[in-house]
Amino acid sequence: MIPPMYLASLGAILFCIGLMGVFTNKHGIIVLMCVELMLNAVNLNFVAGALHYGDVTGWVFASIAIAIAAAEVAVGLAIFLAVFSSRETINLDEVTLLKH
Amino acid sequence: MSALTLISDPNTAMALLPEFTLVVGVVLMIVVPNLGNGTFRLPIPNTNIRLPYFFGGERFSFNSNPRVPGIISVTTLLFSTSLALWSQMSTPIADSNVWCITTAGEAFASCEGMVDASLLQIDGFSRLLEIVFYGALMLCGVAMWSRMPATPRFMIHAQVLAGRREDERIQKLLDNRRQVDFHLMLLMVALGMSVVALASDLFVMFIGLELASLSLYVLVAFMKENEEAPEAGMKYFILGSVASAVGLYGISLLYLWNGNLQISDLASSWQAMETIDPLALTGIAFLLVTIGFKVSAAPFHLAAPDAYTGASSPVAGVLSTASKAMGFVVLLRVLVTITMPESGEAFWVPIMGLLAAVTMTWGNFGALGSENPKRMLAYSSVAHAGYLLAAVTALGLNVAREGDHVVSELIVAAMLFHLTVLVLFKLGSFLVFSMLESEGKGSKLEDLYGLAKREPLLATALFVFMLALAGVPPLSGFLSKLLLVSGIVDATVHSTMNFDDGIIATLKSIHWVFYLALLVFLNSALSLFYYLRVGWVMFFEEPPTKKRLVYAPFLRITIMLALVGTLAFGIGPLADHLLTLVSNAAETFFA
Repeated sequence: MIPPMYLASLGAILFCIGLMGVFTNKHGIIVLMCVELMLNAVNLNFVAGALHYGDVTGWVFASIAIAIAAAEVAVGLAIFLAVFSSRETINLDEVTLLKH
Repeated sequence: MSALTLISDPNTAMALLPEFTLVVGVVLMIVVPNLGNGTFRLPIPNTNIRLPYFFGGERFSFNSNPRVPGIISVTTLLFSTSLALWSQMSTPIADSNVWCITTAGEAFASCEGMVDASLLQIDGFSRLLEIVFYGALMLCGVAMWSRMPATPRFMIHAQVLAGRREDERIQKLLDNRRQVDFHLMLLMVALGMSVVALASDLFVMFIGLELASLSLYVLVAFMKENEEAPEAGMKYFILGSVASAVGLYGISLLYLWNGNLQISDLASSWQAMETIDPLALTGIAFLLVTIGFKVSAAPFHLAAPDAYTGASSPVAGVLSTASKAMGFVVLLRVLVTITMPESGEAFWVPIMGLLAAVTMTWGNFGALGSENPKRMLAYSSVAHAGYLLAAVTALGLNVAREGDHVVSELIVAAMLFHLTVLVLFKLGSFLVFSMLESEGKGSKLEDLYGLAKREPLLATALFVFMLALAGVPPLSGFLSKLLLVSGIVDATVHSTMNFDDGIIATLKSIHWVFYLALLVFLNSALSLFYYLRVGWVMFFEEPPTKKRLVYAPFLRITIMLALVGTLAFGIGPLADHLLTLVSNAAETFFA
């Protein structure tokens, strides 16, 4: 069995990659994917905790976190579509009507 | 087992009555607008027997009205508010009327010594917050009643110009769908917020937070026909989703640390630590990012002005009142319930103090420099978050004097009072803007020119709201700010202090948090400039037109009610009642 420590470390690495991606990318979809990466890091942590403590609730948390991530993508894509239909772009640098 | 027990256990049903009302409202919202005379044919060959099915087909006259969803949502929220208020009023003693609901769906009258882990905890604190949340959302629903164009206006124009008018029935159906979407999201926000108020498990709290924020992202971006709304929604969504992902990672770190996410359990583990575990500390710090975004504290407030400007005014009002109150609930639960040490200062006092100072100053300077009144209100709500954060800092000093929690209770009561009356005057001013907005105005200060000559009553109301935001006596905004400042002073200045050693030495001996109270005063004085500017342009500038604003009777009545509340909760018997209510709530928070 994989030691929980490895899972948590992988989670930390994924989280850092996701966070860095959020700050360096300007395309809406890629930012969304990076957020997903961060949420997957959360899942790995929950699973690692569940293995470490022998606790079922960790698995439940992980599965609910997956559902939260899915809901977030659905809402996000809907908003991006609404933006795209009026601007023809979802690049965060070009969506600047409100900046003043 | 669980779903059935939830309904069959009368205690649970009674304790969660406002939430069940909301769920019934959601179901009605889905079912009622779809009712019609649809039938389906029994699959028997050579016969034509049709059974009424009541879904689809041609809709009945009572539910084809596009206003039906609005009626459903406002009535549901009104019911929930009254139920929560009633359960608060019927048991005035603070520590009765407490329910703990376990994972098995059973309700216990005390949270001590249960076999199953507790998920939701109902007490005076959560009930009061439910009232705040539902009240704010109800005002938003009422405002949307006359705000939301039944059809996107540009579509009607396009159709009229093209010489073809869609069948009116189809148009009505589309309008109805749009209204259903909006009000369904409103009820979802209410449900999520009440889960946050009730949760006694960090993960359950987070689910509530996500439910409320995901629905709010949609509400912000809802008015697709103008270009600002989707953009505001996009910015708010991206920052919000990153913040909540960071917060969820923090929660998962806390789970790795403790193996359990019960708030009471986390608190006792935190007490048991000798030195602070870096894992737990990182978890709490990451969680603070989410909370900082929700309450729009300084480094995380950057999306707030854009979101408030782009969203329609009633939704912006909800963001600045209910959503902020939700953030402060989570903040209190995390910082005070979990990480407060037995005695002595909490570790986060310097951080929170710095955040409070930066937030209120930044907010006020931002408001000074913004020409758009909605943006100005957004920055002013950042400033108000700063005042509340200053109160949280004073809480962290953890002053223990005669009586257990007297000072802390006073501060929490002041915060709750502030969050409650904020619904009246902050949301009230957003409602006035929403009347301007329905004729496409309200995004420039010039739109307010001479409002007093066009609409004397509305202009007076807006002026009173502005004074209340600035904290002018005898309005409720003054009382709330007075309570906050006196709470901070109480926590820092001791009655045994004397001035024998000279003023300088005495001032030096005062804890630095005291100066946050001074900063609150300075900032309030500064904020008077931009609040009074609104009054000035309304009363002393020439209006561009003499035309009155839209009729919107319900909205006008609501604004007047908010005005009466702003005056009545500032001084007099109603203010006393509210103070009793919030101090009971604060007492149960520490119980």
